Parts: sequence; structure tokens; C-alpha cells
Amino acid sequence: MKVQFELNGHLIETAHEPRITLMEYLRSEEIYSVKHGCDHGECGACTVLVDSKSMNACLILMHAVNGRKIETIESFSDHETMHPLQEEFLNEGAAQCGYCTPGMILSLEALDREGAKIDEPEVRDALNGNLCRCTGYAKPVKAGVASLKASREKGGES
Amino acid sequence: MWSSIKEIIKPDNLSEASVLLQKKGSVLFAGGSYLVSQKDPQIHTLIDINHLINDTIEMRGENLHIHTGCTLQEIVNSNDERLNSAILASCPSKNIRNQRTIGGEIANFRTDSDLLIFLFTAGTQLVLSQSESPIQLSKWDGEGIILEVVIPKHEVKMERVALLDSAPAFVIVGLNNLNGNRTACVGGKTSSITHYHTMIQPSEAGVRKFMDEVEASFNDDHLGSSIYKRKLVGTLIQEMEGVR
Repeated sequence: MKVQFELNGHLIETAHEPRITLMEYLRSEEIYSVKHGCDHGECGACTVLVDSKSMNACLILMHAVNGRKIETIESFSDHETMHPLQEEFLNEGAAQCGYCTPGMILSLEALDREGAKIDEPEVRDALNGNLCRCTGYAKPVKAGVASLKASREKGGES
Repeated sequence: MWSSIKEIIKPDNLSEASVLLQKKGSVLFAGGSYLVSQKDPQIHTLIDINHLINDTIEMRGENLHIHTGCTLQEIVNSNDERLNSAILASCPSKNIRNQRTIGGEIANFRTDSDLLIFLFTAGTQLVLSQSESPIQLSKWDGEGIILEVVIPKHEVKMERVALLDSAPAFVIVGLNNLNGNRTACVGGKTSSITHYHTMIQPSEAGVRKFMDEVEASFNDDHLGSSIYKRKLVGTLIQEMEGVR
């Protein structure tokens, strides 16, 4: 089954067996920010952006990405500068083992791109599909609210 | 990991999809609800109907028309507060709401889906691919491809009892009381969805029969006996009606 899609700004053409998921493909391409967690859509460790919406890559078969735009956190920064959400997570101490962090940041980025209002309930809703078993949620929520509010204010000024 | 899936077919039209669906081991596939809720090793063929169904939402008169390709998140972004509450209770994860369609949610027919109980209670109708007129969701036999979900004007109230807010509820009760049309609906960890509708004041015998059916739909388990759950349902309905 042949598919063509955009991955982190690059056009990809590839062929796969029907059973292959986007998560399996991405990890085979050494995109390791996409974690193999539960494989059931429960934990959100494999979160990616599909046309700017957060989704679980373990639940997306490769045939469904045809014509789509896929983004992982690898596209968010180079080795010199970080994405504002990454910076705020660092400042806030919002990551411990880091396993869930890429998924959380992508879910928050999707919320920002929706143009929805930024407040704690919205941020908590955006992170509802991302499980964390060490840091917890207080600091990621705080970092998300702070970063996205700052991003909006900055956007409003320009 | 989805090793049972050997083939994905994109039919040219809905008639072809219906024929393909008759084959053993085949299921319809749109947003991925199938993948989320089931991992049946007997399933080897997915029939992708994404390109054959619409994903629009519109008000026509007093009815909300939702095409079955709509994801749950797209519905949340519209403005029916009570419907949205049911969706958020059914599917807390936004990642999943971005994938799961309303058609998939109905087709999976989970009795512990707050959204399904809401749709039953609201008197929802389904437009099917090979049927000339819409049918009541409560009378749907699972046959045919759902094209459109029609939710009439409603006054649905919902209550749920779960061990955690984010956990599936073991008792879900819906009550709709609009212009003398009264509907009660009970689901949760049940064998079926129990449904009661009357256009007049409910009779004592009618209510007793409904509650007997409710009790029979529950099992005795670690969450309580079926008699306890029957009483819980009765209490919730009384609270919703403002009796208590």
C-alpha cells in the first residue's frame, strides 16, 4: 500500500503492509520522540500532530496518513534554540523522566493552533489524553498556561 | 501490532461497501473507532469509507443533523452544551476525540457510552444507506451504514455513577421531558440499554416493568448487587425530576 505525506516538512513516499501503524513507521525511521507506550490509545506517549490536530500514532494505520501533514517534536527546534513550550517546561521543572513530555508539548501546541481560549480548564482538557506517572500534572499545566498565554500576548502585539 | 489486518479496501460507493461488509472478518473503518475499542483477531479486512461519508454539522429547523464522518471533537466545537458533556464523559482524551467519529461511537454500541445513552434519550434518528426513511436509534438492529445522525430538540438530563470521574460509569441515566414526551434510558455496565418512552403520565405498571428490565440488565458484581443498582437508578431519576 503506497502513501505520500509530509513529515516534519519533508515529502515522504513509502509503501507498507496494511497492518503498520504510524507509530511503528516513525520509530523505524528513528523518530524516537514518538514513544511506544500502551499501543491502545490510552497513554498519549505516541502523540503526533496530524494536520495540526493531536492524535495517537498507535491508532493511525499508515494508509490513513496519505495526503496528511505529520509533525513530531523533532520539527519544533534545532539544537540551538528551543520551542517556547519546551523552554517553559524546562523553567517550570515540568518533566521528570521525560517519557510523556513530547506528547504533552504536542497536545499543547495543537491547542494553541486551534485558537481556543487559553485557561487552566482548556489546558487540562488538552492534556487529558497524556498520562504521566512521575511528574504529575500540576507543573505541565502551569507551564502550558504560562507559555500559551505568553504566546497569545506576543501574537497580539505583532 | 495490528497483525490480524491483512487488507484495507476503499470501495467506490456505499452499495459496494455494504456487500463487502457481509464478508466474515470485515468491519467498516472511518475515524479509527474500531481500532480504539476493539482488537479482535478475527478481523482481517477494513473497509475504509472515509471518502464516502460527510463530516458536516448543521441545524435544520429544530433538529441537529450530524453526518457520521464528524469526529467527536468537531461536535464538541459546536454549541450543544448537554451533548458536549456526554461526549466529554464518554471520551475524555482529546487525542481520541480528534479521531473517533460519531458513526463509530454508535456502531460500537457500548452500553457504557454516555454519548450513546444521551442519543437514545434524546430520541435520535439515524439515516441509513439503504433505507428510505430515518429510523429511531432505539429500534436500529445494527444493519446498514449510518450516514447521518438526527438529534431532535430535547431537554435531556444525564446522571452517571462511576468510581472516578474519568472512569466509565457503571450506571448512566438519561431523562428527557419535552412537551409531555417523557423518555428514560439506562445504561452503564449493563447487558443492554433499557429504554422507556411515554407521551402520557407513566403508569405504575409501566414504571415497574421498566425498572424490572433495568434490574435484569445489571449483574451482581464488585460494584454492587443488581437490586442496589436498581435503587440507585430510581433515586437518580427522582433527583432529576426534582422529587427528592
